[in-house]
Amino acid sequence: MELSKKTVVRTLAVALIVAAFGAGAFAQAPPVKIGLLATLEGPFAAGGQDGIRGAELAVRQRNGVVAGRKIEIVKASSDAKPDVAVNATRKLVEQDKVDIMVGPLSGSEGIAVKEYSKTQPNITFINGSSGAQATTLVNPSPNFFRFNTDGGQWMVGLGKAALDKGYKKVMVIAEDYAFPYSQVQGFMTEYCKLGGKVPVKAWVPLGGKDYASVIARIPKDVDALAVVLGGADAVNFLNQYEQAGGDKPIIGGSITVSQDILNYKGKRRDSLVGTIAGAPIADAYDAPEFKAFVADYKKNFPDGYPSPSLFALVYYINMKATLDGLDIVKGDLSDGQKKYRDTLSKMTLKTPVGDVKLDANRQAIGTTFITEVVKDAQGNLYNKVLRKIDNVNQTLGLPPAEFKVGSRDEPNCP
Amino acid sequence: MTRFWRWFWALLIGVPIMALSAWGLQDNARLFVITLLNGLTLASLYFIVASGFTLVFGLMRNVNLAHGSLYLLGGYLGFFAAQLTGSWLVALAVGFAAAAVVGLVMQVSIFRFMLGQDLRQTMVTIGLSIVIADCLMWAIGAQVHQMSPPAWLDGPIRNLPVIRAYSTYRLSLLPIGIVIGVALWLFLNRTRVGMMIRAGVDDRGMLAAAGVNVNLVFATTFAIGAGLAGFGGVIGAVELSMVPGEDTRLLLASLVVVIVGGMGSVIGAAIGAAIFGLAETYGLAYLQRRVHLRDPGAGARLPPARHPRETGVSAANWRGAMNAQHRAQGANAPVASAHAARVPRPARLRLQNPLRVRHLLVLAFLIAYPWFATPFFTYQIGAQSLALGLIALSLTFLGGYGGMISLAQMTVAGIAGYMVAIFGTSATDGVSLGWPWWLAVLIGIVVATGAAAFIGWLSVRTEGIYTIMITLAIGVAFYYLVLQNYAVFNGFQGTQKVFPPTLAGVYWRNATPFYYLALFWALAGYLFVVYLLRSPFGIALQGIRDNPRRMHALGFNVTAHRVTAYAVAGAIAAVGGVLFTWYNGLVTPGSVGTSWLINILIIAVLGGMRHPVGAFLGAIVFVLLQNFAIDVIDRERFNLVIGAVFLVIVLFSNDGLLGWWSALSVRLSTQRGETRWSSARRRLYAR
Repeated sequence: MELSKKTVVRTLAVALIVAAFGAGAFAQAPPVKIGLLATLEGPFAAGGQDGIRGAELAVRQRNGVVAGRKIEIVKASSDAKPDVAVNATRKLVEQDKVDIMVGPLSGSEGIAVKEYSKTQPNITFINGSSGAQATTLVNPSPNFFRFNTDGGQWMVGLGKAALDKGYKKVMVIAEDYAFPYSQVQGFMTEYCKLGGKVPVKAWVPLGGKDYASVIARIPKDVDALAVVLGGADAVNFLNQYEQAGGDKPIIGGSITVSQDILNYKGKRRDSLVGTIAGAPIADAYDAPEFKAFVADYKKNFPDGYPSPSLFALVYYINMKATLDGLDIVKGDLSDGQKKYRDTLSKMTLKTPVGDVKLDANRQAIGTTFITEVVKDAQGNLYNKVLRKIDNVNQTLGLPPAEFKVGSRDEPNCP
Repeated sequence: MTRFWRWFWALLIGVPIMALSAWGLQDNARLFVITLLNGLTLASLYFIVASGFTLVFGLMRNVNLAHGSLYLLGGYLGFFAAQLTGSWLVALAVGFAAAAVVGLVMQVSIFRFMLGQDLRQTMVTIGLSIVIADCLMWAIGAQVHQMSPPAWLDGPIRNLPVIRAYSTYRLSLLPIGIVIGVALWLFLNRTRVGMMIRAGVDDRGMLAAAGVNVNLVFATTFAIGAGLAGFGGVIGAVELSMVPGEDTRLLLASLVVVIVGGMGSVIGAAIGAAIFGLAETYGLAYLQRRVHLRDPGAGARLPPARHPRETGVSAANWRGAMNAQHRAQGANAPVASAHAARVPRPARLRLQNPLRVRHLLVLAFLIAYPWFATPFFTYQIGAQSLALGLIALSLTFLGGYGGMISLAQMTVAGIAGYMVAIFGTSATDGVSLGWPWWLAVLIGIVVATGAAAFIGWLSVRTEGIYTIMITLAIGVAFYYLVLQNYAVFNGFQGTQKVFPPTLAGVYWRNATPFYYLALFWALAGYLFVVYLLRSPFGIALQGIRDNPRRMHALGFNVTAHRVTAYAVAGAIAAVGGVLFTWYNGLVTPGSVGTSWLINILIIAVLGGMRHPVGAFLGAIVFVLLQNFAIDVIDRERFNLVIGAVFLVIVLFSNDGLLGWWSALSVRLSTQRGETRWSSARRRLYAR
C-alpha cells in the first residue's frame, strides 16, 4: 500500500492526540487558573504594567508551580472604569473559569468588583492594588480579600510629619474619586487632630490635564500643597506648577511619588526632591527581604523601572498571599474553596516590608512608610525612609465608631 | 436673524459676562487675569489642532476622527526628535512633517476612493484612530512623556503687574497661535493654492474642469491639516505631556471648537477655541463643583430659524460660498443632497413580509439558546448583545430610515439608566429615592423619550455629517454634566447595584431570566420597528429622508415627522438603556462617555443599516470582539484586533455585514441561472 500524504498526516494526527491523552493521564493535578486584572489602558496604564510585573514575579519565584499544580495566569485589562473592570472580571470568572481572581488596580474598580464577588460565592477574589476604604469597610464581601493596606492607611503618620516640617496650613489638590478620598482622609484625620488647617480643597477630574487654573487658586498663605494625584495627572501638575513659578513644598500622596512618576520620560524635576509622602513602599528601605525583592525585580524585568513601583509591590503581595494560601491547603480548592478562604483569613503573610494579617473585614493590617524624595549619584530619584509604622489598621487606630470613610467633604478643618 | 434679535442675543450674553468680569476683577484681580491668560493660551493650543480639523472638513467634508491620533503621533515623534537633537524647533518640524506624511498616505491610499461617502470615511477614520493609538502604545509604551520647553522658554516670567509670575512657555502659546492663525488665513486667502482650495470648496467639478489637479489639492490640504495636528502635538507634549488617551481628549476639543465656532472656517475655529478655552478655565477656577463648563452654547447656538450651514459664530465668505453650493446642489439633485451622509439605502421592505422558514429557525435558536449555552455566554454575550442591539436598533431606525445619524442614542439610553438608578434603589442611598422599580423604569423611559425629542428638536435642522457633530456635542455635554454633578448623579463613581427586581419568585438578574427579558424586549423593538416602517408614518419618514422638499410640498410637516422619529428612536433606546444598566448593575459617566457614543455607531454600521436586523448582528460581532479579541493575539493588543476587524469590514463592504451578505447572495443567485430580469433587479436592490 502506498503511503499517501493524507494517510501520513492523519496517522500523525491520531498519534499526537493519543499522546496528548496519554500524557494527560500521567499529568499532575490540573493547573490552577488565576485571573489577573490590571489597568493596561487609560490613566494608570503604566502602573498597571508594573502591577503585572509584580504579580508575575511572585509566580516566577515559585517557578510557576504551587502545591504540585502548575500556575496558569489569565490576564485581562481595564481602564480605571468600574463597568469595564466588572465586565473583564466576569469574563475571567465565567468564561475563562479561573479559580481565583486577583485584581483590580484602581479604587473605584475595586468597589465594583467587590459587589460582583458577592454573586460568585465559590470563587475567591483577592485585591490587586485598589485602595479605596469603602471596598472592605462598607458592605464587605465574604470572599473578597485585601492583603494590602488601603489608601487611608497609607497616609498614617504623614499628618504629623507635615507638622514637624512646619507646614501649618496646607491646600489639598486631589483627583475626584474614591481612592484619593481615602488618602486625603488618612492624611487629614491626623493632621487636623494635631492642629493643622486645610483652608482649600481642590478636587480635579481624573485625567484632566490642565492645572493652570487650580494653580492660580493656590492661596498665598498656605505652607505646602498636599498633592494626591497619580499617573499623568501628577506629572502634569508638578511640571506646570514649576513652570508657573510655584515653589511651595509638596506633600505627596502614595502614587504621586511612586516610581512610575519619578521615572517619567523627560527632564528630572529637581523640585520634587524633598517631597514627603506616605506609602506602603519606600525605595530605599534597607531590610534584607526588601532588598532581595528589589534585586529579584531588577533581575527578572530588565525593562522595568530602576526600583519596583508601589503597584509592583502591592500586586506582588496579593499574588504571594494567593500562592502562599494555596501552598498551605496543598492546592485543595474543593468544597467551594471554603478551606482556602479560612486559611487566607487566618494566615500571617510574610511580605518584603513586614508581616500582614487580616482583620474581620478581610482587610490587611500592615506597615506604612513616611518617605522623602532624594536624588542618587546617577541622578535618579527615589524615596528614602523617614519613618516606619507597623500594625496600621483600617480605622487608623481610632475606635470604629469615631471613624468616617473619606469623601469630598469629610474630614474638614478649614 | 433680524437686527433686533442680534442685539437681543448680544445683550443677553454680553451683559452678564461684563457684570461677572467686573465682579471677578474687584474680587481677586490676580486670579481673574491669570485665568484669562490660561484660557487664551489653552485656546491657542485647541485652535492649532482644531484648525487642521476644520480645514480637512471644510474642503473634503471628511470628519477625520483620527485627528487626535495624528496629534499623538506628532507629539511622540517630536519628543524623540527633541531628545536626539536637543532642539525644540527641530521637534516642531518633525512633528509637523511626520503627521503630514501619515495624513498624506491616508488621503492618497484610502480617502481618495471614498469621495462623497461621508459616513464611510468617518467610520474608516474611527478604525484608523483605534489602530494608530494602539500601535503607538505598543511601540512606545504607556509611560508619561513630558517634553521640556527650550531653555529660552523655560521657567516663569516674574515681576508682572497684577499676576506677579506666569509660565513663559505657556505665555508663548498665544503668539504661536496667532502666528499660525494668520499664516493659515493668508495661505487660504492670498495664495494660489489657497484660492484653489476655496474654489474646491465651492464647486469641485468646476475646479477639475478648470484644469486643476483636484486630487493634488485634496492631498495637500489633508497633509496640512494633519501636519497642524502633529504640530499641536509637539506643543501639547510640553504643556500637557503625552500619554495614551490624549488623542481622545484633543479630538473632543477639536470637535467642540469646530461646532461652536462654525465648521469649515478658520476664524470660526479661533473664536470657538477662545470660547471653549475660556469656559473651561473659568469653570475650573471659579466653580468648585461644575469644573468644566464645556459646550456652553452647543444648544443655544442653533436657533431654529437659521440655515443649518450658518451654525456658529462667523459667516466668512468661504462658508457663505459653501452655503451657496449646497443650495445649488439641493435644487439640482434632491436625492444626492439627502444622502449627504451617503447612508446606503436600505432594501425596500415589502409591504407583505411573509414569515419564512429562516425566521422561525432563528427564533427557535434564540429561544433555545440558554439551554445549550453556558451561563457566561447567555448573560455576557447573549443578553448584552440583545440590549446593545436594541440601542443600536434605534440608531439604525433613525439613521438608516430617517436619514438622521444621531450619536446621542447612547446618551438617551444613559438618561433612562440614570433615571432608573436615581428613582429606584441603588447602593448610593444619598442619590437614589427608593421608589418602586416599575415606577422608576416608567419614569426612566418617559424622561428619556422626552430628552430624545428635545435632542431631535435641537438637531432637526441639520443634516448628514452636521447631525453627527451636533448630537456628539450634546452627548459630550451630558457626559460632563453627570461627571461633575454629585448631588443628583454622584459624579465619577456613578451609582452601583442597580438591579432588576425579583418578580414572581424569579430574580431577573440571573443569567437565563435576564436573557429572556432582553430577548423579549429586543424582539418587541424589532417587530415594532418593522411594523412602523410599513406604516404611513414610516413611509412618510423614508420619503422625508429621500426628498424633504418634495414631502413638504405634498403637505407633510417635515419637522414634526423628524422630531417624532427622534422620540420613537429615543423610546427604543430608553428600553435598551434600562436593560443595559440592569445588565451592568451600575451606571456611571463612563457608560455615556464618548467611546460608548461611538461604539453604538460602530455597532450599527458594522451590522449594516439596510435592515433592522443589522443592529443585532453588529452587536453580536462587537460583543464577541470585545470579549475574545484579548484571546486572539497577545493579551495586550486586543484594541488592535478590534480596530483592524472594524477597518476591514468598513473598507471592504459598503454596508457592513449585511452588505457582504447581500453581495454574497447576489453572487450565489446569479449562478442558479435566473432570468436576466430577476437577477438584474436583485443586483439593483442589493447594492
